[in-house]
Amino acid sequence: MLSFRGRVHKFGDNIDTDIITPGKWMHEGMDILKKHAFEAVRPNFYQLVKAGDILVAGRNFGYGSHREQANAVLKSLGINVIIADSISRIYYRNCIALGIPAIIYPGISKQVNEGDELEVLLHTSGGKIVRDDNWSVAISPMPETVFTMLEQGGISQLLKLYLKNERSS
Amino acid sequence: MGMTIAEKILARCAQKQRVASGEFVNAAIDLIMFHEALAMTSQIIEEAGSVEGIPRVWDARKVAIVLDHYAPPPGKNSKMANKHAKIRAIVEQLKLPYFYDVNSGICHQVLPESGLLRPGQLVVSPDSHTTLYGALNVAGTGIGETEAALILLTGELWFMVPPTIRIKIEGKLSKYLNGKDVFLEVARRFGSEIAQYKAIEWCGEAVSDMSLDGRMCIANQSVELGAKFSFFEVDEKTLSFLKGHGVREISPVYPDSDAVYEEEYSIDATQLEPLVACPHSFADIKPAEELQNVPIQQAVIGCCANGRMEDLAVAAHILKDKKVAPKVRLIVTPASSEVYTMALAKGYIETLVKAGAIVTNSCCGPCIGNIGTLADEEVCLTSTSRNFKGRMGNPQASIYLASPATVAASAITGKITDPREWFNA
Repeated sequence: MLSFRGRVHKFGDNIDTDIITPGKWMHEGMDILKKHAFEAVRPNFYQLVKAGDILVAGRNFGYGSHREQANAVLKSLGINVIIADSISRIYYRNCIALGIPAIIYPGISKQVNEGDELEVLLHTSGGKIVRDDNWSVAISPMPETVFTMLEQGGISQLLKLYLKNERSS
Repeated sequence: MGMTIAEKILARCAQKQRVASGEFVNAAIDLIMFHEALAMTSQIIEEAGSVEGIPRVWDARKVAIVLDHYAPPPGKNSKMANKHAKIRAIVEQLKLPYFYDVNSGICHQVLPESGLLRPGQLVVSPDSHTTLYGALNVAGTGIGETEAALILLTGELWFMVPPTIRIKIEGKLSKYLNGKDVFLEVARRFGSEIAQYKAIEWCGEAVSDMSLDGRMCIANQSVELGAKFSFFEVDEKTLSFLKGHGVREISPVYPDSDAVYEEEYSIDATQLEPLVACPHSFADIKPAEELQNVPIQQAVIGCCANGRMEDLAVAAHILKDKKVAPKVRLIVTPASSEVYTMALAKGYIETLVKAGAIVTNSCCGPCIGNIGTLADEEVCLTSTSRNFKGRMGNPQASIYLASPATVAASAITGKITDPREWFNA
């Protein structure tokens, strides 16, 4: 079981990777990039986030370019979990690769508000999202492959192991 | 029960007799393509403990590299120049045979021309528009740089076998329309998530009639519909393109007649009209006719979505003996040096330059603001792949997106224009 607790930052539909990480700042390093994350729709977002927060979004979150910086920047801002009505395919893959739990729950953006405190529980047998006022929803079981990768902290951990084994063999 | 194209390719790569949608498999990769993203993948491997960089690759003949996004590095961008230098050093050190430097063109045209793509392959790349290879019956899809690192070392990646939808484009497409209009119609009618996590198989009379250029445009833009793969079946046109680029062993993959599709959609090509996606996504798509009062300051034709011969031909046809409006900048970017050379021979480039166009080298520049950055409040009409906020370097600007014909006609009038009356008899 993986569990998280945090405060919600809510975004709308079609938040694309150019919004999350503007191309203009993509190659300037994470310290600079994170100051520009979401600036077209929410300037200074980096000052509003604290470690452990949860990002909730509408449909098609992470739409667009494959750029993995758009996933890494959330990690570097301290966002622990992403829950959206739907998540674009490559963005979803990259979340798993980087060990960021990403949950697709159609309708979540209508049920959760900015600033809500949520608890999120994830498992291969199912999970749930719980709010302080006892509101909760069940989420579908996570595929084994995905859960295992998240538990290990993403592909980068596999990569470390692989390189270590290679050096010692 | 039969299999779809996606199921057949993933079954082969996972060494299984059959797979079904929803199943997770570990698949052997036939080819991985990198552009500048190779620098980041190398950095990921360095940070994972291999301080000396990428120690080796699983199979050097299955790795292709094309430098195109910052080709050559623009605007005193020495960071990017250093990344290019680093990539060239990696290529030399690992003896990677398929390297295409900044003079080659855009990866999604260079790769089809390279002869490295063959029907039925599973090809990945840290670039979302990799779905384009489906025009050649290849399972092409975008991944991230970290996944790419794992593939370089192991040659494998996990996949969920996607459900497949079939989209039939019936009837004949008029000469005023492009693959772009077909894609825009699908997004307008069915929404930009119609293929989320799914494979698409395209079929129908308009698809059979369509050139490879048109199919590549549709397969490229399919990622904007959410698609994991976007397949076209192999026909005489595919075979002639592949053979013309030195591909010999060709084993097309066709779906079984009893393959299971999640959904089938149909569009009547004879009812289509030139369409425009309004800023800043594909959620708001309107007929060009309804937007005729929108003035533009920049127009772009080219890049990986619409920088091919058919696109340059239609632009030259409309702009012949005409002038780009005085307050408009028209930027034209052929998709590759091969395309550029062919367009020169046909006289298209001369026509476009005489009309007042700026013809750039083949690179991704105009699509991502590395060439032709927009000013605050400016409006651009582009035939590149995306109209996202800030895509061309300025979130205060607006980007509309349409076919090369619509962009060419609009460049002449200085406002969004339905191209139909601009075609000569």
